[in-house]
Amino acid sequence: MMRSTITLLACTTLLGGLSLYLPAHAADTSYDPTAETLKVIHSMQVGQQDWPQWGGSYFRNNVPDAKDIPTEWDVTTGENVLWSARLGSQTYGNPVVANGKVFVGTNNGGGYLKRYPSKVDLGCLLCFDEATGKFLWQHSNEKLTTGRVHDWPLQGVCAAVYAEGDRVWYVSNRGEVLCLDVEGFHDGENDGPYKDEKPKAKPGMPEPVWEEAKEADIIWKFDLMSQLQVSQHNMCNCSITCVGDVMFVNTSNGVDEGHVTLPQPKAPSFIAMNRDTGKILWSDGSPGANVLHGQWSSPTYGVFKGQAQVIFGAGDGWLYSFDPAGDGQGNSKLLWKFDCNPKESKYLLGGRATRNHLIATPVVYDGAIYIAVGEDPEHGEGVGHLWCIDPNKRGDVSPELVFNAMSPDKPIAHKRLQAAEKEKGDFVKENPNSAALWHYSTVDANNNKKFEFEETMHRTCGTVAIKNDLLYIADFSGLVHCVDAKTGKPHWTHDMLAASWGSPLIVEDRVYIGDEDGEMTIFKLSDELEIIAEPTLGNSVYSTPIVANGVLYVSNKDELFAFKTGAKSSPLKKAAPSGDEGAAE
Amino acid sequence: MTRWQMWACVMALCIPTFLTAQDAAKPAEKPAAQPVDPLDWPYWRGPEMNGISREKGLISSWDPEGENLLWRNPDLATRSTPIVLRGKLYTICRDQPETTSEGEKVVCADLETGKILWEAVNNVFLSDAPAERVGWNSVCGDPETGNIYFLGLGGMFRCLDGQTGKELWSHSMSEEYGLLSTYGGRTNFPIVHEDLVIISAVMTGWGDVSVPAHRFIAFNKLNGQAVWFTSTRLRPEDTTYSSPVLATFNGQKALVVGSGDGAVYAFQPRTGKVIWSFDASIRGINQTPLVVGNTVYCSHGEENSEDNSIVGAVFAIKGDLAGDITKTGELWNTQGMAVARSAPLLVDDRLYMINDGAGLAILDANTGKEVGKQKLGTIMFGSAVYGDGKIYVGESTGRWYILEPSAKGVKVLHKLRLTDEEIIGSPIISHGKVILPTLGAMYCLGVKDQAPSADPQPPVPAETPREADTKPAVAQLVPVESLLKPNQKQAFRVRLYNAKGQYLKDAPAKFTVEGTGTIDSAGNFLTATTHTHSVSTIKAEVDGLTATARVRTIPHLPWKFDFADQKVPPVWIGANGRHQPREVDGEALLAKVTTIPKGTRSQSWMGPTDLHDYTIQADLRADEKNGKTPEMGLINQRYTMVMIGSQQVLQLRSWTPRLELRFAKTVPFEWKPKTWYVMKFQAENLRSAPDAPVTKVILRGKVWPRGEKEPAEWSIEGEDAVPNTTGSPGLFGNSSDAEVFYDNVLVIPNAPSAP
Repeated sequence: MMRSTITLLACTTLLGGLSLYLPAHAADTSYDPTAETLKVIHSMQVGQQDWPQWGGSYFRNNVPDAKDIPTEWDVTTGENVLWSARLGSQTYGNPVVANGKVFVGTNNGGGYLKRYPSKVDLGCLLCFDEATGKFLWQHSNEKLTTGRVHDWPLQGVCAAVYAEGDRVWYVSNRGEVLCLDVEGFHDGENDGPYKDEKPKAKPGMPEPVWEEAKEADIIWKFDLMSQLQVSQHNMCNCSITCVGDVMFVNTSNGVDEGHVTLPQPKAPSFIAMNRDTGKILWSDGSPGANVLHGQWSSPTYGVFKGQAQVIFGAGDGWLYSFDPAGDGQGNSKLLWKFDCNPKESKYLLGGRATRNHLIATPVVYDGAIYIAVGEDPEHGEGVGHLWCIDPNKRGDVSPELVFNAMSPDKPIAHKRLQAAEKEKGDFVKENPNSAALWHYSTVDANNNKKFEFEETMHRTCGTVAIKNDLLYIADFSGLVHCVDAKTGKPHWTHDMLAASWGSPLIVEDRVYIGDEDGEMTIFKLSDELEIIAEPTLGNSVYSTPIVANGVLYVSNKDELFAFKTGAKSSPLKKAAPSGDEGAAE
Repeated sequence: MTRWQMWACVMALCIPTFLTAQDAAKPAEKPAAQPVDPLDWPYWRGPEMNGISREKGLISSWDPEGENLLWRNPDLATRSTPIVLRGKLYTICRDQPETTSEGEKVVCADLETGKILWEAVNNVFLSDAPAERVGWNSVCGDPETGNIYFLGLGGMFRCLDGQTGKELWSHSMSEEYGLLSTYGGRTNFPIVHEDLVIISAVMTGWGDVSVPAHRFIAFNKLNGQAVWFTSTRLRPEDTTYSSPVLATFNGQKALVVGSGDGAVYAFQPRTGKVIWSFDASIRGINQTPLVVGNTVYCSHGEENSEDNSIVGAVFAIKGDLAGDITKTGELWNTQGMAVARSAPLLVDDRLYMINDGAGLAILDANTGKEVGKQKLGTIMFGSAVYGDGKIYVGESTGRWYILEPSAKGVKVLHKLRLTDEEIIGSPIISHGKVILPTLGAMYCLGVKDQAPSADPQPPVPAETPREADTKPAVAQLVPVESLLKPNQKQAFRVRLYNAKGQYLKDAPAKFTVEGTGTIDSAGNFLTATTHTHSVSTIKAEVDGLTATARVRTIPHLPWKFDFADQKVPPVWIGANGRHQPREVDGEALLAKVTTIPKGTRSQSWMGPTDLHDYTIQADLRADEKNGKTPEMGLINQRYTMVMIGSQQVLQLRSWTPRLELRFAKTVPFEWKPKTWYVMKFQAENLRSAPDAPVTKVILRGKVWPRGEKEPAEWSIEGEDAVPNTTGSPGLFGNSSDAEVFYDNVLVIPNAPSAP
């Protein structure tokens, strides 16, 4: 306990000086992230108000343009519910809406296909009709036989799709990148080159029931595990982004059962692929054997001072930026890298670890990058760090550098569990080339000389949402933080008393955040804490609310709800018995 | 003469003509029993196994800085729930965490002061479980003998003298029974009933128990002899850690527990016979059941078996039934409430259930309907206890509560937050104190200088007198599992029980043997006299009842396995199924297959756990698929030597997740798939004097292409100063990516002049 507190104190002291590096941004809030997101959407072959990828655009800022989004609903009566659709028993995928269809990853608890009754565990990508919620087709991914080291039971498909035109791309629980026809077989064609969708009977088994209209039409697939020797840890997850015909994918390469060894240290972590063919354009294995656990972050893209950048959060706790064009030889071209952890922080299993990795997606806002560190929720809560990073520096732009007494002038190579081991003669210096614009971890807001729970940024798998220079993020410990995006100074925190796995949505003048107790806390978009409403979804929300074409989409564990003010529909089932919800007394 | 043949001759001469009979069936001497102290807390859920204490004068508030804090000892920091026996506190702790000497230990402390009295340390070996998960389960105390029972993270099952910490007996459950010690670290809770201590795990053993299942074994609590061995359904989805509780249903004694196969079971604790099972989930059940009268309350946080689209359930079932009671036994069921870990608590017809997100729901115990609720935090691992009209509970992120039942649910009497101290274990109540384990310390809370007082515990429901039914219904052959040497005697004993599982008498029986060895009419079994590895099933028939017991007969070293008989050696643990005999290029070999779900990365063991100072050698060949090569290696004395294809290294290790911190040696080593190699792996114990304890073990290994001359130099050497001094030879392989072939396995004693 003492050690981690001291580390934090040291870190806070050290980083306190970083405000010197703040850019000379004007105090006005002329940057409109919603307009920036819409520009990207409008450049794509999708509807003007669609939400065609995780985070809406490659900036990954969940700030859609809409009006009259409801703040109240009743999932037991169907009030303000346009439609609801059956998902699996556990849902971690975020919905994407494009060209009249809704795509969401889940498991097979819904049992939509006769050939896979609901008790067969699968990763499923479900496609619904946007207007009615009618089920259109399912892409089914059988579980990997190697079990939970690669493909955790019942977690389904965790990634969100990238949708454009008549194609949809996504990463499955089997470690495959897939390109599918959005029409499935409804267009009467089996588009290829991939044509082997129809399963063959297994020896001695009857011919499987083939309901072609409900099946997915695969255009191509690329197996990261066999073609790039990737070995993901527990789950392969990446919500793809795409610029032109180049797609960016984090391969999820991670540790083995022993949680120490990276079984495939030479497999790439980050790849660029041609979206029409699946051909690899370049690949990068920067995190190498330093991956702490898994790699489940999704890439982000932006152009900064004329330089296009694709930014990947890695399993070693570093953020990496590359030239999206690569080096022209099939390799990456690194622009900068940033260690999101204090150098003396230490990785352990469980809540006492102070070193974390990146599960959240980086967000681009007004020329800067924002991301917070996290860990597999299975490993408990712990202290976290939220960063605002200047993307215009090059090289190692971490806040600190590590040296060793043996050669005190040359930074030493990064070390997996602890970058700076004092007992081995390592020491830390500020990096003159640091790109940290600000850092938010612990703040003694009430000046009692203690960092209390409410004054601490904890681990998160959530991504920030920013508008009007107000940054919102929920941590896994249940705190919602509202932080000034320009200075990193906290405005307020709110304890939801329930873990949050998802990310906030900012729409109109409100902020929506779901939690594990199944509640949606709706705040006023303000630097003052004001809770507008806390409607329930009936059971745990592990996903992020999104808005497309004026409709709010939220999934709980087993249903996807489309909420629209004034709508009414019949509920699929009675609400689950309470007990998931908040305090009564 | 090859070296192998020479050793075979030498060792054959060493074997005495007739081994001393192992009279293990004789009941061991019991120490003098002490009166049971009702203020003790000998099981983690309390003396009544329901989280309830009858004590009075317990605290209503405390402060980590002083108020009602009797002591705080950071050396007792643990995730385990402690117990109290004969006025002493016992728990499980990490030993020397984050050092090269790290292990696990059972610790005994003075309850009044928190001062540590003794520690019983052991290594964790051949396990994927991370050190942070040491103490996943709890120790169990036996009020009758004062002994402490402990299942370690890596599968060491130990009986310790509660006074001294001295080990009375132990089993290495992985090497002997194929216990899986997985990276989740889930380990099960031992429980004592009469003369037995019962433990469980998912195991992949030999013969008809080589397919994985959650299996329960009862050992004689005094001498560790296996008495009964029962399996739940094959191929469970999960390893689990529901802790068993004892109950009496309509006069029948039962052991009630959730299983890895998703059902709740009631077993007869004396025979292991299943009384009933109730299917609840398609995944495993981690929850500890609560029994009140004839009703069993349980819950889970996984997909339901009836409707797997719904996650979680809290349910009440009728315990006084028999058979598969899934359809007949349900009293009520609130599906959708995910309570996987925090054990049920029932006070005054109200059931207190804390879901995994730390939401407390207060339910009407008769209907399951919600009466009230209270949010406690965000993550729940531990369980609530009740005493003196108050509920004591710690939430995982450090939030602490004292609650009082109220008309609408509960009233919060006291709460505080322990910063940076996760609470995974549960508070206990004993001798006037509330004891709280955290990952930062053990806290002892109470009113200073106040003598403990308590209401009497309610009587345990009486069993039907056994005189009411003296007809034998179950026969038991003891020991149910044995590992013997050739030419060794083992006495067997037949015990008869009535339909309710009550012991009636020992009885003479008609004995027969399938396999090697002979048995006389008195049940004295004599193993085969030849230098062969063989298995036997012994059958006893009495009064129309049949009981069986299984024996593995394994000779002294040296051993050789060339698989010419196209069989997986039947005496091997954890090998059958995951390996297949095969003929490749005219060579009979053993292939580790890629097709066994969850079994592609596995260990198997060949024999006794007391072997040491030996060398294991084998021919190994890796296949290649999609550019990936497997891992393959050998096990010697609880160390693994492995060739890792993707990294092109040789590695020596023992506790896999502690590679960087406990013991490992890795050297670069280029090798190719589809090529035969010979691996040789030697362990040597070093002592300062012949009778002195082993101070370290020297490990040496070499690998060379088969057909080439053995190199003089070792390829890899390592020295472990925290040595594993004995252990079974075995195989390690990870065929998740491609197959591994083994052939010509040799195990030989080290030459007396080993380098």
